[in-house]
Amino acid sequence: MLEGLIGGFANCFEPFNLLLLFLGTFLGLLVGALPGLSSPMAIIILLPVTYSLEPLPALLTMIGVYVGTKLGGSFSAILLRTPGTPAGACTALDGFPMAEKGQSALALGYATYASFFGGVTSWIIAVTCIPFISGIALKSSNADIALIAIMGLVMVSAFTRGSMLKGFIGVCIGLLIGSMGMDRTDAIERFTFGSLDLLSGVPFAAALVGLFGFAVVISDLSLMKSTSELVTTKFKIELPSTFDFLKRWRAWSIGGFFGSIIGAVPGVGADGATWLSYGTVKNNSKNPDAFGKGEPDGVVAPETANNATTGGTMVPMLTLGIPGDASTAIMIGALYLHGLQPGVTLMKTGAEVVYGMLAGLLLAGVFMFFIALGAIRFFVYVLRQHRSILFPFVMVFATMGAFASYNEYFPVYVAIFLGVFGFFMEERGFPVVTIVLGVILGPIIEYNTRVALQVADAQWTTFIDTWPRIIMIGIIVFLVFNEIKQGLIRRKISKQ
Amino acid sequence: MLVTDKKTKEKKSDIVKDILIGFIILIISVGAFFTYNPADAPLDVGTDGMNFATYPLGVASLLTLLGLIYLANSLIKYFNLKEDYSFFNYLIQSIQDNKSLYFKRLSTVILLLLYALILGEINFMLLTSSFLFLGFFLYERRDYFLMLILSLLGGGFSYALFVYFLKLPI
Repeated sequence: MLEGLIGGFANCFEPFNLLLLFLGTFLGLLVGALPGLSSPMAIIILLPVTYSLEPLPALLTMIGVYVGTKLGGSFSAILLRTPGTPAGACTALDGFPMAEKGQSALALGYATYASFFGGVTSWIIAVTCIPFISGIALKSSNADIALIAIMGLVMVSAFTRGSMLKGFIGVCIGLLIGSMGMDRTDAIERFTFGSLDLLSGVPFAAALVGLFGFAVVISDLSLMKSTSELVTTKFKIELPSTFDFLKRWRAWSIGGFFGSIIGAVPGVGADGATWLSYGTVKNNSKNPDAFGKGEPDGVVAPETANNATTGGTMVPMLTLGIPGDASTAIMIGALYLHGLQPGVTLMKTGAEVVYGMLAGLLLAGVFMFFIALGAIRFFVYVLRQHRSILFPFVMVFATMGAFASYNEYFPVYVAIFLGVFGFFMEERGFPVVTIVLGVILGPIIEYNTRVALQVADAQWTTFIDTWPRIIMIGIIVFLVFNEIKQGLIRRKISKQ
Repeated sequence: MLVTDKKTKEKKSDIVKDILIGFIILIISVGAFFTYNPADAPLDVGTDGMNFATYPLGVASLLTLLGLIYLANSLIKYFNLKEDYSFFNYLIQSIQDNKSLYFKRLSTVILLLLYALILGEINFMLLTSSFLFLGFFLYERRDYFLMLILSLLGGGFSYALFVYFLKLPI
């Protein structure tokens, strides 16, 4: 493992890779700071540019964006009370009151320190867990892989925001979209509607661009008129002393722990981790009444948790091919687009890329820290700009992202259609990330189920042959029944 | 930023949207049964306990079941709510209240479609500059000189990046 990691760092330290990681982190901070633009959208914008790159540089750029957006979201949360990302909402609770008290520089300092610390903590956990989990995952058979993928889908549906029913419906729509085109085993057309363009299925990049790019632009047009009234005119970051930060060990240790663990659970994402950390720290505080009025622990806990999810999400993504959130779902898509097969075999077939990504994760955290310190004035300047300038550019880049995937116009039309569809689904609370996951994991589930059945002479009992499979089926059944039970309880309460 | 947990009490107007979505889901799922096999391949292909149709039909069945639950749930909510509601009045009122936003959304989709349709037909730089300018205009910027400069710079940058450096066959 150590050898691989050293190799990963060596690859990252190549000047071109380092430059891309730096630029990605810079872009991430910028995008994260802008309410309405999110990490998945920033990665979508980068898609056309990354096609021409080798897999590792392309993924390093995305890792930089992913890490950068985490801290960027807190800038607007602290200075505007309008979080740039959903996970930044929790930081606004105490960050904004601190800024109102004239401590904006210190609040930004706590956020920067905590983000860096959270990133490092989760990185250590990720590099420790990934080789161990991949070692086990590599021994998986087709039946195990199919069950892991189904479990991932159920977990995302269960833990994502909104009801599980909506999550499941999103997943099923994604699975149907993923089954379009020529069947991999029998080479028979499915859902092609007589179109030659659909023979190879729905272009994956088009689904990403439509659901995470166009859908968000159409939805966020309602934010177009929102103005950015900054609470302060002092735009600098004042780092707290190391002693002061260490004194807040409870906040950063809880944030780091929850962020890393929850980040590894598919579907929960950073916002779940930040709120849980904030609530836990507040409940265990000697002075819980200070929270919400400018308590630094209220900035440290969610920011540590927010960045700690970056390492957590890498664990299921790099070992099992199951994304922890929307951004990692796109990164899985990028792995496909670059000819790599995400999943249990990735560690075997693309170990160089895996270790490079892990090394890049740590380096992006370091870049994030120094870029934030050096360029805060620039980010605040951008924060004050009207979004009417940004959205047309986003649309051009997203369109090119869809076009460049096949060098054809067809994916662009698909992306526009899915963008409109995704917009309506999101408006009614169906998380589009579940659709994307269905598209990603659907073919994996079908292929591995069929191979597993072929090996087992069409005996479906092969899926309960071993203890790990029984446990996985148990988890799936438990999650489904638990959600049904919760739904019935909610209905009972609402009737009362 | 898109999905928000709505804690406020649901209104009939929202539930009607859910009912419509429920119908759309059912149209998709039921439609899948009729369109999964455009080549009219025989169903006995494959001897491994599954054939090419098992998976899409299984998913379509599950989606139909979930869609029915969702629709039934929404209908029950609709009939349980005691609220004066007229779909057409609400629709007209909603359009009047959000005229500008709906116009922007619709125009954005049309603009995107036009951009996609014309892409490759005329010079990419010119097309992108025009698209950006129209986009700025649509999103209510009226500082024409700045809009023009930004559009031209944006078009030029896009041309340099996508055509010159990335060599996309646009």
